[in-house]
Amino acid sequence: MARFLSISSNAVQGVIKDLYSHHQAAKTNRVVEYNAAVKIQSWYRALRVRHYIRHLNKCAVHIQRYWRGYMGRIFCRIRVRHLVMIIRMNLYNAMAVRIQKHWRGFILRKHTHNFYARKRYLEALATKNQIVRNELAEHRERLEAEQMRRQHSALERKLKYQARKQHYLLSTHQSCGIYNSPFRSQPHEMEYRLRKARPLSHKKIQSESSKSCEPLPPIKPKVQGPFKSPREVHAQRYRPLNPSLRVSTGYNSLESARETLERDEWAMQLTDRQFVPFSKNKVDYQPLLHTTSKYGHLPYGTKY
Amino acid sequence: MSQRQVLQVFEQYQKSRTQFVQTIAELSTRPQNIETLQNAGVMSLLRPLLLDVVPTVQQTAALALGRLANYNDDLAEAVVKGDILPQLVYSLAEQNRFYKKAAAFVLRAVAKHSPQLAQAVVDCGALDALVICLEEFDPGVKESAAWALGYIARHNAELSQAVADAGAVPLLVLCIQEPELSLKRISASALSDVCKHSPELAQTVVDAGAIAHLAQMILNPDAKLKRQVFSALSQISKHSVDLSEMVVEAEIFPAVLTCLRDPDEYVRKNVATLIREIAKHTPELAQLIVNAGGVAAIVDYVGESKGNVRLPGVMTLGYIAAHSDNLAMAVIVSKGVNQLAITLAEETEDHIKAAVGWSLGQIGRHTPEHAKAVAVANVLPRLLQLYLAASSSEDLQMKSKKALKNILQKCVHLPALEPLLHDAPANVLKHVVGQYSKVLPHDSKARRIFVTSGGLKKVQEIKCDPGSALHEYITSINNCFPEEIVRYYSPGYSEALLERVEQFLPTS
Repeated sequence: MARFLSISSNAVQGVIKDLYSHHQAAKTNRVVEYNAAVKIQSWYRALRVRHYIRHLNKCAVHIQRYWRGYMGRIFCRIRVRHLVMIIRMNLYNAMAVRIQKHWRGFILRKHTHNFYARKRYLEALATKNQIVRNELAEHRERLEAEQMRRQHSALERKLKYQARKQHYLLSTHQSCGIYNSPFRSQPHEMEYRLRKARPLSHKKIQSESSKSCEPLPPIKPKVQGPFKSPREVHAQRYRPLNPSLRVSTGYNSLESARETLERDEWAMQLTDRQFVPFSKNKVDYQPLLHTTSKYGHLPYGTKY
Repeated sequence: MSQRQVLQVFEQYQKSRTQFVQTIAELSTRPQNIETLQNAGVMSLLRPLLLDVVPTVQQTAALALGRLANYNDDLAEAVVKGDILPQLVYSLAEQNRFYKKAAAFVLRAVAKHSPQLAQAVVDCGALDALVICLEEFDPGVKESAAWALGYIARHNAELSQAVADAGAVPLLVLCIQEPELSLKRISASALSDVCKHSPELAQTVVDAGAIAHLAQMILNPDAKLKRQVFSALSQISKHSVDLSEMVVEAEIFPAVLTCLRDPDEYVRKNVATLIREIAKHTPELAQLIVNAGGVAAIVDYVGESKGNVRLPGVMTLGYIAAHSDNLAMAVIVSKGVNQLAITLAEETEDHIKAAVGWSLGQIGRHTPEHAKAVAVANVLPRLLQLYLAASSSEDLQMKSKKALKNILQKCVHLPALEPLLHDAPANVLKHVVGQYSKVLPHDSKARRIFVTSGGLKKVQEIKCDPGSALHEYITSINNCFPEEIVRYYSPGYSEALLERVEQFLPTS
């Protein structure tokens, strides 16, 4: 025990010392160790988490890759389809333009700018122009002729009047007038006119006395009705007789007409008595033998 | 003193008044007496005589007044200032027809001088009185009233509107239908004066049914009536498409053309004016005229007449050709271009030449075919000459330049272009060279002729700024020829050759 006690006291001392040093060491190292442990743990945990996240990322990328690939293919397909459509549309448009070009050209040349129609029109116009020119020339000629005729007739009238006025210049059997010079082979034209013309009648010269004294006023203004013109009155008076049909036909016209007719007939006919046929051979009708019997009509030759 | 002696005094007074007025009226027919009469104060003496008891004196006084006022505007103004018009207007309604005639004559004489005087006549209420006179039985009164109305309406749109508002138009249309020629003539002239100012007035006249009656008188043998009828129709149709279509619908067309060969030149001129007024509106109306053979008639008319009378014909051709290329071709086919070329050579007055130039430009501006037809008639040098001549008016220069430009821009007929190359100024030359530069690259024969006729040499001599249109054209012409030919023809080439001779060292 003592030993034990000595040992223990020694031991206890040593143990206590050891313990103390252990504790001391533990106490001093605790923070460091703790920190180290935390670091180790944190590293490890982080490692695990990172690994996990990487795993998750990988998964996500995988999913995304497939998804995006899928979608991309869809879009691509759409895009390609679109592109093809555009190419085709361009082609179709080009073709349509080509067709429209030819068609429009054709239609325009056929209807609007038809060369032959234009040529025909211009030719027709030239013809029409010629016709109009001719017509106008004719019209002008007619007008000129009319004017000429008018002038001519005016001149004629004037000369005629002059001839009537100067009728005293007519040459007589004894002495030549001024228009009928004996030194000329032919008399002047006026001479012939003078021969044809009738001299102007002399106006009655009113005497001074009749001019000065005014006519007496009418005794009484008498209303005298509206008169018909003398010509009308004359025509009325000497109008030829114009009887009606009933008046102009005789009362025995029917009889006389018959008589005339008979007379004419009698005059026209060759013999007084009419000719008749030579003989009268009247034979009774005899029926055929085989069509008649006492038993009635035989249907021979008419039936069956 | 017996009663007889007393009456004798009055008789004498009346006799001397009558004599005085008659003498004045007679004296005022001669222009040389007018001044003396005016200085002697004839106005103040005549004025009381208008109110005389004796109708003969009144009429003769009015006649004398009218003759005086007719002479010049001073006297007309004196009539207005002397307050004579109200008296006249008052008595216009009351007196007999002789007096009415004389009064209307005075009104006409006053109104004819200026718009102010006509306005004065309108202001004193003459229009209503004149319109009432139009309803008179006597054709002479109607005639003078229509004449006065026409003179009033002649001046401006307001006055003619006033005449229309007074209700004169239907009565004038009635007057046209009267048998008297002079009345027809004057009322047609009055209608023409009324409708010349504005489309509305023309529409009023048309609404009164004037066109049918006017169209009936086209074939009337009387030349003076025809003048007025055509003038009225052209004044109606000048305003708008609708109005001219209405005129055309009266079926005037083949008949009008015969009047282009009328002996009377004013008839011809008015007919040509009518056709021009119709043709200028639309291509359809122009086509109608062309199809009726109107172009040939107009061309003949232009050939037959001289001076101012042919002007409307020339303008008609231009208007017809301006509408479309087909119509222009119709003018060419009807030998219009040759006729215009002859006219351009014959006429001396600037405005007619300007019109001819304009018409030619309108004909030639459509296609190369048209331009060739114009160029072949050899008008281009003449137009150029007119453009360059110092004596031509500004308008003529401008019109001929424009015509040249129009024709040249379409012309590919090189023989016609060639003379222009030698004597055209730069602004015309530009177009000529431009045409060459368009034709030469495609035509080898033309290139050959261009070189042999000296055109290429001329082109090399042209000086122009680099960068201008002319320079570009020259370059494109030069590109059509081999380089040595171009160099051979460029100015200064002989000196360059001689220099080479000098610098040449003989090798021996």
